[in-house]
Amino acid sequence: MVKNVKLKRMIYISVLLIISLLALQYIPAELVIIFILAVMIILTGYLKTVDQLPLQGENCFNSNSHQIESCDKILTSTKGLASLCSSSLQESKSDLADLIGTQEGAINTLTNAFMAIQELLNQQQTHIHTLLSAEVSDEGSCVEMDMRDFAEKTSKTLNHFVEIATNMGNESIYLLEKVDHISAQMPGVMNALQGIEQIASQTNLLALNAAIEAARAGDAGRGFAVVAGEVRSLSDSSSKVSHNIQQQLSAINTLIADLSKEVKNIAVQDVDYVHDSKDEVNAAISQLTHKADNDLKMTQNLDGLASELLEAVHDAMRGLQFGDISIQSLQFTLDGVSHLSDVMCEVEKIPGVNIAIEVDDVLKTFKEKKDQRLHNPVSSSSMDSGEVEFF
Amino acid sequence: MAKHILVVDDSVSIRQMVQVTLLSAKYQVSLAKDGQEGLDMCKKASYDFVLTDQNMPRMDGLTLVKSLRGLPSYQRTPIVMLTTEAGADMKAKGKAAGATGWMVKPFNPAKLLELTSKVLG
Repeated sequence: MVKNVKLKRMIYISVLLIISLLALQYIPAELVIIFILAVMIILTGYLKTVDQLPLQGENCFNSNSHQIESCDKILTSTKGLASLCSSSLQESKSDLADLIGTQEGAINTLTNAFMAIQELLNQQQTHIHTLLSAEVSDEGSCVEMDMRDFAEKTSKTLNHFVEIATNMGNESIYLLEKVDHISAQMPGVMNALQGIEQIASQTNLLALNAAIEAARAGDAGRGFAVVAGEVRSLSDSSSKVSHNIQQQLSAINTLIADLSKEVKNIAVQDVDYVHDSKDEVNAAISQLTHKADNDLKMTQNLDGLASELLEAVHDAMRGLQFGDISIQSLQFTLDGVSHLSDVMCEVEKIPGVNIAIEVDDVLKTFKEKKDQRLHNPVSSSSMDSGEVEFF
Repeated sequence: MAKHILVVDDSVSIRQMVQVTLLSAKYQVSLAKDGQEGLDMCKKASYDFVLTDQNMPRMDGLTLVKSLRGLPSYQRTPIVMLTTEAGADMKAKGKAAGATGWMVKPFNPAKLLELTSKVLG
């Protein structure tokens, strides 16, 4: 009888140990600790019971009664323990379900945010590429190069204009010198005309004297008097012509002086103006080229930044997938806890008529459920992206 | 004309991430939330590439691959498994079912695009 009781208890403890070991595969560490403590309590109770077993030869009635009482106590303790575990497992199930719900909500919110960022980045990159492609002309040359070509051509054209303007200025100055030379001749011509006028005056005086002398000669001098009058008349005419020429030459001289002044102004002004304009246009083109260079560099920098940002968002997307992965893992753990909770409920329901068979039935059911259960679908344990394999 | 890709995954966030990634490369994308829905969609329309998860309600990825390979129009269509499963036994099952390739989650969007470009030739 004693041997049978010991055997039953040994089976009972073994079952508890097996359940504990199986539980280790499914449930969190906290629950495992509860199981270990439970097993220790049962073991302590068992050892006390064994210690109190009566020795052979003692009163058989007292011994049987004592054993039945001990078995009932162990069964009651086990049921109590199963109830406690069941309660804890139900709480864990509820907590896990809440955690899965919260995590799903958070992951969905984060995913939506990152998807919006990714979409905006894609749009931004499209705009940048449009900008960069617009900076390349149809012939495939870059706008920066076009600007340099434009600057060179403009500078060449301006130099040509400057050369023409300089030549024109030089020719104007040459003309000015010629005009000055002509103007310098004027006083000599005026002096000569004054000399002619003086000669005319003297001729007039001579003709007057000749007329006086002709008058004195009477009839003999009458013809001479006519000649003397004609000479005087010619002298007056000569004097008048000379005077007119002097007036006209004086007017011409004034005009030449004005012309000289204007030509001089124009000659100087043209060259300076063209030189100044050339400098201004060169400066403007230089600024435009510099701006084109900067624009291109900035756009390329933006393109680089957009690529880096996109890479960062890709990393974030990779990280976010761990939300989904951990939910799968949590779901698997939740299933394990549910199975274990079911086992505890079954243990609670054990009638205690034939403990070994009843516990064995619970164990078989649990094993069947475990065999039916799929493995944990999550293999990843790091943040690295998964491998790719082609068959 | 843009290549049409069917993405089959029970996770909303994963579907969204894969969709946005593929759309950024100008692919046309359709979504199914499990294998059964994916199979129904494949029977109604023609897709150039099918990307499927393994563990899903109603019908898992391996069953979907087997079913698709049974359809005349999907015997040569590239089908890649995108899953958290990385075990050699599961990959062997995928190969036996007729999958073209296997990509383990978490996926890198750039690598996914690289894979897509490769299988679509």
